Amino acid sequence: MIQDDLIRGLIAGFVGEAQEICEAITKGLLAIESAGAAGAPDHEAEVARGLHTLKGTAGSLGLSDLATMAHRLEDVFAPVRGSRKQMPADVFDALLGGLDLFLTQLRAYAEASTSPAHPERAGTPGTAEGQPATADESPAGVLPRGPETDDRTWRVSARDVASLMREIDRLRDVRLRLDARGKEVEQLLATLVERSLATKRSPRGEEAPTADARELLHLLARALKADAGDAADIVDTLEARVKAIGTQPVRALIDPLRRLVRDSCRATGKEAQLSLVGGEISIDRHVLQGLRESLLHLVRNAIDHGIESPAERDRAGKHREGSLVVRVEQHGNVLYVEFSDDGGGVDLDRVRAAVVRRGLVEPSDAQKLPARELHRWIWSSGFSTTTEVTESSGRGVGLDVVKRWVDGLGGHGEVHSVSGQGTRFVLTLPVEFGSSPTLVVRVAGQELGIPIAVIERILAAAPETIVAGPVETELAYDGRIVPLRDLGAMLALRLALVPSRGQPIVLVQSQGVRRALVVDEVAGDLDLVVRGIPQEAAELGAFQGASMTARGDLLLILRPGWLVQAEMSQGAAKTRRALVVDDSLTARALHRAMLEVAGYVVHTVSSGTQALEWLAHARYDVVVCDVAMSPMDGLAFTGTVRSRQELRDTPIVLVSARDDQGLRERGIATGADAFLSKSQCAAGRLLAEVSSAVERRRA
Amino acid sequence: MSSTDVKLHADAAALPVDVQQTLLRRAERLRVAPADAQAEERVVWVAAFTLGEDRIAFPLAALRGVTPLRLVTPVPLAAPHVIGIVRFHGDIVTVISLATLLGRAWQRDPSVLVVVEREGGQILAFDCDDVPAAIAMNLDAVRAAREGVQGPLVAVVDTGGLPLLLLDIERLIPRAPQELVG
Repeated sequence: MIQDDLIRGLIAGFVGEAQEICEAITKGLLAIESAGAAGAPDHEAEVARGLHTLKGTAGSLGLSDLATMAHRLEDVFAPVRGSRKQMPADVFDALLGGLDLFLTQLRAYAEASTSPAHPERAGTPGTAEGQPATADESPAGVLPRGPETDDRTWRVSARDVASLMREIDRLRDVRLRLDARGKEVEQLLATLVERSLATKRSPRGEEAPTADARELLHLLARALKADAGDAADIVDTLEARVKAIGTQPVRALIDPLRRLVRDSCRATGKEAQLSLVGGEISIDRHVLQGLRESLLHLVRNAIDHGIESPAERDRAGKHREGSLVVRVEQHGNVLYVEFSDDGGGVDLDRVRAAVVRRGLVEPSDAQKLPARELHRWIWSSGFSTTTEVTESSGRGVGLDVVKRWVDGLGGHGEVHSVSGQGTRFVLTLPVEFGSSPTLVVRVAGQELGIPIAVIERILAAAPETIVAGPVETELAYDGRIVPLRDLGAMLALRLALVPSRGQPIVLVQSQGVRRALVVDEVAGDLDLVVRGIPQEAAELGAFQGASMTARGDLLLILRPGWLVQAEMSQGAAKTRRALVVDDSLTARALHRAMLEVAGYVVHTVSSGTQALEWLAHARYDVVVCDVAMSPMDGLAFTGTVRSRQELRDTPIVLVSARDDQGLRERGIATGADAFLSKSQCAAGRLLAEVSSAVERRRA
Repeated sequence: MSSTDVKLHADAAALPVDVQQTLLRRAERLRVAPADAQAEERVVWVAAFTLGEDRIAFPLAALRGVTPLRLVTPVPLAAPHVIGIVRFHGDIVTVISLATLLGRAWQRDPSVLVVVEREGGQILAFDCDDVPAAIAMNLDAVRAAREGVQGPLVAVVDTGGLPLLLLDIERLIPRAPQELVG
């Protein structure tokens, strides 16, 4: 049947294609079966196309038996198409079973065609004993070459991919350095021009001695800029490609699982639906593969032991159809997978009986075992509560496999169960890297990321929908009242703002709780690789990780659980507030530390412009402001504050790295209450000057 | 020890007297070399930098890199001395303000980030005024100065006679117990 290497390569390639087509057909068949008499014309067309493609491709490769099989599946499917009657489940069984058989047979052909001991090769003319081997029959020629196959799939270690990702980060550093060098050259050029050393012609009309150098520098600056741009493109492309190699969206799991749910329900006479939350999260392919296996066991276990029969569920007042939910969340380098069912819960008496039956605990002690302890036994190897072995359960291997996989990754598994209400398996897994779609927002001058998975909607604030409740501000949205929080205040970056008309409000939902978050701007959405953050930031609980931006800095990603649970900063309740204005991170940290020790609630901003925005919304007892800032310096800021009637009495303490008498006098003349050099601040003078300035203004 | 303790090989007797004397002098120098080598072993290298009015140093072996103080992302809600996080060779590293932690005076805004590796491999960065310079310190003198001192800074005098504060990073930032997943 196999004619040559080309056909062998094509058959090997067809395996992957057929796998995808069969998955699409399966998905379509499940949707058609679920739709029943209502019909699902789109899916019907998709299934018909898929079967036809399978038949055509198999035939073109000379796989006539497979082409016939696909043709028969088309015959079986024909009455389903366009029918507005609920087709018997047996028809779907036959179609799904036929697809499995098609794939199995195709894989067998592919394996046979690439085997060195392939019988067709052994019988190829010219390879008989004693005959000289041609170039094709040389040892290398006899070995399966399968060039197409080799080019399509490689095995790559996850560690290597993670290492590549780190190298890309380093390359990004190089790119940023190129950018910086370009700017330095531009500055050098500007300096030359400023000093009239680089003018094309001297005042006497002669070529300036540095004209050639200026021309060269100009070309160099342009070349550096172009190189930096190219390098940026390369880094971005590399990152996207490596991310694609290393990760895959979790939603890839759902179709095979839905098929399993359907088959298991058919076998047990039960009814259940599977849903997935967090399918858009991309995780390490290696982890995804293990997760696929684990979820297969958990689904089987839930249908066999958790979900009750439709009649039992009716009696218990539940919907006839059981609910199975897979929920995936990634917090930095930790992946949380929750699998839950709304079945009868773990039968603790049966677990006790099984523990005693296996001789693990004395009967008298078994009665004393708490539920938590009994839940742990479920994971044990060979543990089963049933004494009867069926096709899908009773051997006690399922959950043991899950546990071994989780342990092998250095993770952790828990079981929570409530009798009559259901069971929840929570797997906590460390992952090397992964990516999540993220909404980038700006708040109080800082960019932050919110996982898109928790975002329900983005609204523009309208005063008529904002209600001042007895305890907090609330948002009337879609007939509901949702607590409204200022994200800037939650992060202690500013005092709480009531949003102005049109200001963005991000509605989030996590763990069944809704919150409306006020932000300053929505910058866009990105698919970001989320990294773990150092302990000093992780322990705050507000951030699940950070991502590197194209600019080279980091974007902190907010933790969904924190977004819905965190309260406003309690700072607002304290009486004394200080605003620190300084473009130096260190100076802001130093001033904040000193003022907090003195009992002030401190907010910090990096520019005079931003400080004026803050002062427009809230009152501060004192402002500590740097002098040398750009574009608005401390003197200009002070002048602006003093020119505004409502801010005229706000105490301002100017701070400068220059201990200059002239500057000091100008500062005081502009309206500052005090002027300190930075070295005086550290010597403890800051608090004294702040107190004194506040007292003078009060008097 | 006098040069008479050193004897030339019998074959050297055939050499001219001035050559023999040169060889004897060289041999004598080599004899005393081990004593110098021992003295070298008692030296510890430190990285010294300026922070405001102080010169501060830490073991050179802990130094992992020096970068300009830029592209630091502030971390809201963090303690005042945590000024943010920054990328360093593909890792995310905490940046702390040394001046804030030590409560020292500063004259100009720091412009340099020094990246260090703590015991156990944790990397962190702190700010300072200039790129650290490597200098040798007498190990015995350092040990003697450290004796009985509980704080993160120990005042010593370097080999040039200038005052220097030796920084113990582990004492400056006590390590919190590692959280276990799950």
